[in-house]
Amino acid sequence: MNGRLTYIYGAAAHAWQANESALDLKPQLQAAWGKRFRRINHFIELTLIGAKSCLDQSQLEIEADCDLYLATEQGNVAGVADITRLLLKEQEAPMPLAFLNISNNMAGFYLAQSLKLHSSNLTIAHHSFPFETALDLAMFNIANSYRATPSALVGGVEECAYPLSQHRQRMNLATDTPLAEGSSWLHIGAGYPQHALACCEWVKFFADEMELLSFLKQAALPPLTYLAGGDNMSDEAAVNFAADLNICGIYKCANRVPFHTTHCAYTVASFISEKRGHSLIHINRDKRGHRYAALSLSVI
Amino acid sequence: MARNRVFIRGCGIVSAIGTTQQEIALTCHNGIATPGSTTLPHSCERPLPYYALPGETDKPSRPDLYKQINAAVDSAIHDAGLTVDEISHLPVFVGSTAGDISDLESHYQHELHHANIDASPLYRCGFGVLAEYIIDRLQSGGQQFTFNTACSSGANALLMATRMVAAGRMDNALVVGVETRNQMSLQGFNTMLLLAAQHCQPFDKNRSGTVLGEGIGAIVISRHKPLSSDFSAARPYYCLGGANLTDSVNITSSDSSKIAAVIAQALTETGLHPADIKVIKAHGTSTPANDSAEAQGMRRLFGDELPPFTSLKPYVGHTLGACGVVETIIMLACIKEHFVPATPGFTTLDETCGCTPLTQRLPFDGGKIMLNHFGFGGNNTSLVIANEP
Repeated sequence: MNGRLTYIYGAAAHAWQANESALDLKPQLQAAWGKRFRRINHFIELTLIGAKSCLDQSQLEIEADCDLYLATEQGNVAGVADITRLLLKEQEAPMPLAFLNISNNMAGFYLAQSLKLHSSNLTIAHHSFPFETALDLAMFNIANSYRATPSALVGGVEECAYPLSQHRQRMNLATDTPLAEGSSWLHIGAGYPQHALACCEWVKFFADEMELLSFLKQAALPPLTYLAGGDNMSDEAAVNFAADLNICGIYKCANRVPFHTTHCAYTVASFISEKRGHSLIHINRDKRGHRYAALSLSVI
Repeated sequence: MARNRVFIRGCGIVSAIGTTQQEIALTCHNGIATPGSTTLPHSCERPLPYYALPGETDKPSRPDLYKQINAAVDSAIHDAGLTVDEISHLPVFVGSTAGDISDLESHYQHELHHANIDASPLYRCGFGVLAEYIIDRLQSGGQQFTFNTACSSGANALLMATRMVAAGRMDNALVVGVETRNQMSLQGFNTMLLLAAQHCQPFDKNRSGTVLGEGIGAIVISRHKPLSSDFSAARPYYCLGGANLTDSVNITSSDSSKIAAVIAQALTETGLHPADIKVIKAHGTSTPANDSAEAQGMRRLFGDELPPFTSLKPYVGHTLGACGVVETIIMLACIKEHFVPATPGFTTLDETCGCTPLTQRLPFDGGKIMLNHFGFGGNNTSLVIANEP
């Protein structure tokens, strides 16, 4: 690693409470981009809305070699469920474009096409920490790039499949768990510190709680540091972590939104817009409560 | 910037032409592999050619996905001679397009068969489940990554793992490419009119489409040189890296200029010149548009000095997201036996391609090999491996 700092130039947090049927995002999409997109699915719509919002708020113009990292746990789950049902229950073949669009990287393609990018384009999945993993990979590639000012768009996108009762079941959630869809993005890079809103310091992964705590106790946390717990952590667990560390408070987004797996992206992007001059440690736990992911950033 | 050399320490594979590197090398040496066939359920069309893994070939969705993953992973770890301590923090990189869909389809079919008409088509979800499964089974505390970038998924997993080992971020990494038989991929490719009626004939004038296959490949890469006393220890195999770039204009078939661009970027990233490449393993799907674009892209970059190139898809089919790992292992198996395999099925030059793949196996005594993989969504990845002192 060459020790490059990762700056955050833009951040956008978007989440939509899931109701009993999929939200129509077309008006919002058209308003965001000023044009109509044809033949795309809901997951791609979510991606395009969140990323455009991030770039609209970014302090730096996006360049054609800006890399894309789309983090997701479930990807096009609604599309995959629909086609599986069509194939096996209705015994019909999918339409070509419907099949093509459920490839998870198609959202990244439409985003790259809309932004006229000629860069790397990766869709990253993880069972518990998709956004943290994508951000880690983006920061690694930025730190090790031969380019003078490498940059990346890193987003967490998650959709729901309907009916929600089945979706909760497949996610192993309680029947009354409120759900959300999300598309939250960061525009990051090395260089241009004058355009930075924040600086991302590290993303780390830990085999267990002891390893995490040992790391955090040795980390030099700035005085105005908040702690936020991920969706798999209870409020009580976050408070317990805070008690062990030099933390000034527990951060909760002003607009609380229900569960979605890339909630970390939403929290981080919200913090950047709400807490100037403060730092954040975001801690997330995997679904079984064994492993942890944590990241640290400071808002300028 | 100081970089570690990234050695290929061990491989494991489950493919239509074998589960050992020796079996695979023998088939490729003979230059003949014939696909079996599969029938699309509820279709009046004739059976499609398909390269199936051994066992349970009669089912439209493979029910023993995890058993096959275990076989490939265990073989790679054994081949690499990883210690218990190394396994305990081994990072895992998975590349796949369909993930566990074959398992999900099998489960849903079972439910429908038992008259549960309200069954959920996906009883669980998450594209990271395979990496999670492998990490759990190995009891590794290492990090996990899953790449879903269509047919370049496995290649991107190998590329990113190589970069991380080279930078000293990790000592070893397990890279796994997974693609097993499922109705979604078969029906999807069929509905897009991308499947051949009989044969896979990359770059041939009469090619009519690709033939799908299933395969699982696992590679252990390491900053430690393999300790074994065989050929690989004297002249090791290693990954030099490469590049991933998107063609953001063409959704199913890249433009030749974009293919040339990713090859050029891979050379830049690895500090090589075109003349350094001794052989190219082409993506070579055997679809008319892809092969033309790839051939033109290679000619655009290499000009009159186009190195010998071959396609491995006539041996194992197009294993989609796994092909970046599966085909790397096949190349390694062959060059260990000192040859580059020919491209079976090629007979007639296509003027739109303007070049001919290897029609006879080529003796190989070491050098740098380029491996190209191009996916839907314009996701293009070019890798370079080497077998040199």
